[in-house]
Amino acid sequence: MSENVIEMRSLTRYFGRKRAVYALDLGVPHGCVFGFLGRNGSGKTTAIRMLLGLLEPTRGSASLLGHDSRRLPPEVRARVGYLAEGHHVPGWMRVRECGRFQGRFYPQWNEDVFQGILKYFRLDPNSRAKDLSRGERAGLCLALILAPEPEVLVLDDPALGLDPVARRALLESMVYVTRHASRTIFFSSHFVGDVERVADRIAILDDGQLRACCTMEEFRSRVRRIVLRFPSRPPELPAIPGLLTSLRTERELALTIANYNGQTEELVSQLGAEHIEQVPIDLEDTFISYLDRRGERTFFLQGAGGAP
Amino acid sequence: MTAIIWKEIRENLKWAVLWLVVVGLFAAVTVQKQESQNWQGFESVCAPMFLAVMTFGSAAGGLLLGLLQSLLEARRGQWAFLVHRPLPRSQIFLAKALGGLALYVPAMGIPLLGAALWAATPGHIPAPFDWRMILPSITAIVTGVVFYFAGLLTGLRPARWYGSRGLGIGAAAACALLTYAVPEFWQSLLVALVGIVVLGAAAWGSFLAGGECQPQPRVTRFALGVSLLAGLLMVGFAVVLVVLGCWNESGYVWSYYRIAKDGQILRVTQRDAVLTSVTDVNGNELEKYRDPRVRDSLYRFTLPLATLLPDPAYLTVRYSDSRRFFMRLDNSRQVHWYYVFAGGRIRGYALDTRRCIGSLGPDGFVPVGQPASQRFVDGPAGWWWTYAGVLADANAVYRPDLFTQEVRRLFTTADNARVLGVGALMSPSPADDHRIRAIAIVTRDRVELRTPDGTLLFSLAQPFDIDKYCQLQVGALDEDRYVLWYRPSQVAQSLARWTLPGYVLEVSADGREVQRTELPPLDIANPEPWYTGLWAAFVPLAAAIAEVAWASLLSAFGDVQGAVLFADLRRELTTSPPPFLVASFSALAVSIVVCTLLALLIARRYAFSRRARNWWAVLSVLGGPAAVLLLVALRDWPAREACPACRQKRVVDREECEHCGAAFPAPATDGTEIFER
Repeated sequence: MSENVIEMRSLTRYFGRKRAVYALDLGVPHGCVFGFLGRNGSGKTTAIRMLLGLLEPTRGSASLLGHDSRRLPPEVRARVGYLAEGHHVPGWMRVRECGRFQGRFYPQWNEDVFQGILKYFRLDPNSRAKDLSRGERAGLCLALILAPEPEVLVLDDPALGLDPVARRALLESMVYVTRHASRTIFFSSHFVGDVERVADRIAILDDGQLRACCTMEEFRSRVRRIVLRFPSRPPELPAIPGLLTSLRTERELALTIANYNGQTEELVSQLGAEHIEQVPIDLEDTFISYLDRRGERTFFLQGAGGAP
Repeated sequence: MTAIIWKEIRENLKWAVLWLVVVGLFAAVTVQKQESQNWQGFESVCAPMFLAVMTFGSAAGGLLLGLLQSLLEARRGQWAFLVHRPLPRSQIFLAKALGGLALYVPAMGIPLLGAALWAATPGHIPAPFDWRMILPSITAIVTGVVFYFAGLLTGLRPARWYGSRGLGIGAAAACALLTYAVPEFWQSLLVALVGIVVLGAAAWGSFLAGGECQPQPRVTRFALGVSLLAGLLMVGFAVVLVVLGCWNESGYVWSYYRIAKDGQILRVTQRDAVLTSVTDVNGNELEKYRDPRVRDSLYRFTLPLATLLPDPAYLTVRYSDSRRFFMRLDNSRQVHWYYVFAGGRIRGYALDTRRCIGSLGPDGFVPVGQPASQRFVDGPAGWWWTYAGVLADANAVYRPDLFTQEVRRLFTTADNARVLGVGALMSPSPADDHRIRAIAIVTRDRVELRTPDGTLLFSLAQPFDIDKYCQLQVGALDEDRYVLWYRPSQVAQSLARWTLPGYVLEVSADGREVQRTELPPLDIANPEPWYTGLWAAFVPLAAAIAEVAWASLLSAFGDVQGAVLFADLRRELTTSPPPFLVASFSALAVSIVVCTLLALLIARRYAFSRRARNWWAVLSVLGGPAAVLLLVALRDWPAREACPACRQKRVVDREECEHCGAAFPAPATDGTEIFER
């Protein structure tokens, strides 16, 4: 068995002629909290559904706990907790019934964990699922997938649609769960702050393609923002490898560059700036630079003061 | 698994209860509305309206439940909640289906049971009741299970609604039609069970693969193919019916014989509903009938005939017909009289109390509650559509008087010969109050005519082979002259390639044959126009081969129906006009070539293996347009991209290019990618 709990190899999926996920290669090691980032429609949910065998890949393969996703045996599914996007539970079920229903499938069902999470989210066991708020329903779903004490948690955008308080509660629960050393968590999100708080490693999916996959530290260290100040109008930019975005103002050029290295540094220094400064960049800005459209932006308006 | 069964029941209970109430109400209304139906053979739970409620209720109920159970859970999150649990997916499907059926069966079974119990309870319906009368409703309920799986399949498949998604429902409809085409309960049940197996397997496979076709096991893919093919054929059949309906084909011409009251044989030709000519046997137009007004009232000039032996082809009584168990003899205002086969007696039901008042047998009337000592043995002999006052059992003829509730034995046959049929010749004079003038009976060897009190008028040895000429009608020309009209059965006629003539025998009162007229078989003069042969383009070659093979097989084993089918096919081929045959065979040949080429082209686009391409080519030869449509219906239209190596379009679901073998390129990079060093 591979040391990776989750593996995707050239995983590809088309819907008709539309390419949703393309040649995705990914490995999630044991015990890792893995953040799977991407914009809406970038293919995160599709990849997760293929990983869990809910959707057939067009090409490539995925494995979970060493088993091919297409044929996950029941005993492997019992070790994997999955929280689907939208937090679906049958609306007619009461909170208590949900627990009883779910518990019948898992011999290792831990009622204390279930009750603990219900208590944490202040859920009334007699409420019907359809009467719960989104945050409460997310809490219920989390309780349902945590009570069987799974080895792997796959969470598909668990904070989607939640208010900040509910998101924080959900996050705290997740942080609590990560204390369990042997547990692997693979979760998708587009809330970078949430990811930053809990993830060890991240992957970024853009338009179905993997753009980044590394530890948080490495990601932070390899994206830089350079601000160049010029005595006059900044010159036209040459091709700079790894350039994500550039923001042009009257006398300044702010460049966000991935994989900043000596070669890039030399190219930047040749631009003739009177002052070059590296400014700190947080994960959210990095993420936005990464997934935003490429190219230059400018605040110059045609004919406005200072414009040529 | 029980947890899922419980969930399904709990989730859909409200719909099942609603359906039970709706069907129960309709069943209650229709089973009580029996008085207005005086149709023979459709009493109580065999009434058409009641059967319609059960048939459509079962089909719609099963379908809706199947759709509800699958469509509502096909949404991403719901689907994941259902299938991502430590159970094999087959078990989840089984639990889901068991839960659905646990709701469906009571929803349809309780109304049926209630209606049957109500109808069986004396005082409700003035007619006998036999529990076997609920068999048609049981078939309907079992067929509803086919619709249930069709609903599941439709909900699970992510095909387009205007495309192939509803074809499973078409397959269920085809199965339901087949259950109505067969005469016996076990045959209907078998057809329905086959439908359940095929559509159940197709739904199971679709559940396993999340609605897709490719990842399914081979056996369920086959079942899915069969289901979609049946649906396509059903849709094709419906389209043909609609087109033919719009075509409004008129001008259908056919001829038949009649006997005039003076004994003359008339050859009548009819175009649609209009009598166009009346001639003698040789085709000479008769002056008397030139006037269209006379022709239109031809029945006034034709001789009333009593049918002793009808064509056996018309005697098949389906299991849904209550005449399997009893026959209504009389519809008086006070009492309905039924001949009940099981008891061998005629039972009367008072309309006011709706209860049985007693029964008539050879021993006369026995009030209800008292034991009857005699019964009609193996009666009634022969068959009649309308009761004319006489009734025969194995070898005796009786005259039951339903008004006075007396039974008189008229006579027994000589040497206890078995009575094959009996008929009453009525007096033509209204002054006689249309009393019985004579009674005719037929045995294997003789035809006898007797007075109403049983006195023998004449006894004639059978002039023809009764196995071949087993249609016999008798009429009285006057006091001294009678006619016997013998016609070959359809089976005999088919086997003889429609060459057997009919015969009309004029017999004197002393039993002497006075005259014998041969009636040549009449062609149905409706040559098919050549263009109707073009329909052959849509007929699967396999269907034609199967029909011929089936007929040959049955004939080889000595089966009469097979021989008839074979003979009719041969006749159709030999008597159809050449332009029609040329058009048919050409259309079939062109269709085969076009369909095979299309299938090969589509299979190439899908980048099928050579073996798969050959299979589809063979299937297209046998299945025609339906096979080509099936190919497209089974799988998504293939997405293709240009191969960077050979520049040709390649399918995206193969790891290597089917043209040059190149792998797919790695995703394009722009230097911004960050991967672990």
